[in-house]
Amino acid sequence: MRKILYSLLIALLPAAAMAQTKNEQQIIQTINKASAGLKSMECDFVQTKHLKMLNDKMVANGKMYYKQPDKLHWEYTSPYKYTFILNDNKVVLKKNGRNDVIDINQNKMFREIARLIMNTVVGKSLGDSKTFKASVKESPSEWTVTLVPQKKEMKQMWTTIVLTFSRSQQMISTVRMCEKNGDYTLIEMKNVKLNKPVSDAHFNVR
Amino acid sequence: MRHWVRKLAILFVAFCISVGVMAQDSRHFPHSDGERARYNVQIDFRKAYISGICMMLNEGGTVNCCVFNEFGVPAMTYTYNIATGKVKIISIIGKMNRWYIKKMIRRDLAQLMSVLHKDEGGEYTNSRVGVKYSFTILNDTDNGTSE
Repeated sequence: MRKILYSLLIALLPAAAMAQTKNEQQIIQTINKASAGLKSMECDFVQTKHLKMLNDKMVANGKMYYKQPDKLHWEYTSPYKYTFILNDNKVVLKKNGRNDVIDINQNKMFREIARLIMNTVVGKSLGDSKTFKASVKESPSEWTVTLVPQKKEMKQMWTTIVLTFSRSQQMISTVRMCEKNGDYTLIEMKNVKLNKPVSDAHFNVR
Repeated sequence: MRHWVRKLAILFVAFCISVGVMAQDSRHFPHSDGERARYNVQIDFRKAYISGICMMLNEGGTVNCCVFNEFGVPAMTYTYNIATGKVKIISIIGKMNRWYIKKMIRRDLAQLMSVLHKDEGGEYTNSRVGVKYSFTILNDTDNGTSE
């Protein structure tokens, strides 16, 4: 009898594992579909950097604009001013009256940074299995996707990147980037407006 | 009339107290134990520059410092011993994690921290390699508060 039970258990285990994977895949597909349908996005954000060594945190506020396929305006408004604009293959950095234009095709580091910011913010990172290994958890109100970096450069900076998606909006609500030493950066999206007209002036790279 | 004068006096005292509190929280170099400071950081190289934030905490005469970029990506952590003037690098991003780079940065930061400690501005230039370090106080415009 015991042998039969063990056999049954062994037979059922892979099926249970497959069922979970299938559920995860369904959630990822749903998020990817929502990301693909995202034409534009505008929101405020609050970025909180927690520093374990200092038992302190830095709170920064800003605004974000996104337009398909690859236009992003990421601007910190307080307590410091810093703007990052990605438009096609160009990145503009604005700080202290300086405007630096970078061609991301000629700068591998910036290409990676630009891709990471954009894909994470709009939830496209899930399909990038070369860069991240993704796992999903769900609750009644949200999906939580944990991304484990696979590339050496990213592993040096972060242990995990945790994305939280609102199930009702099918849209990202928080990004939490965790470091080896226990520090982490939390980005919370607020006042999200989806698929509303966004002026091209926000993505001016000159 | 007396009522209004009293009200004005209370308002004036409240204003002075709030200005006093703000002045105490102006986040200059953390000279004393438990004090904190925040700086805008810019490091200019010959053809490029990097920028970010440096947060500091004085713990028993040692100033613990964390440097990260505007996105929160960590750059390095180091300590500065006020008594000896020595800097110890605790961690640094991969590409700069070379002994000769760390040696140069450690020396440069020791000079810069000494300048900040003496309240003699916030700049140090290593003219041999053409690197300029600029630390300016980051004013809290709103809710960038300590825990």
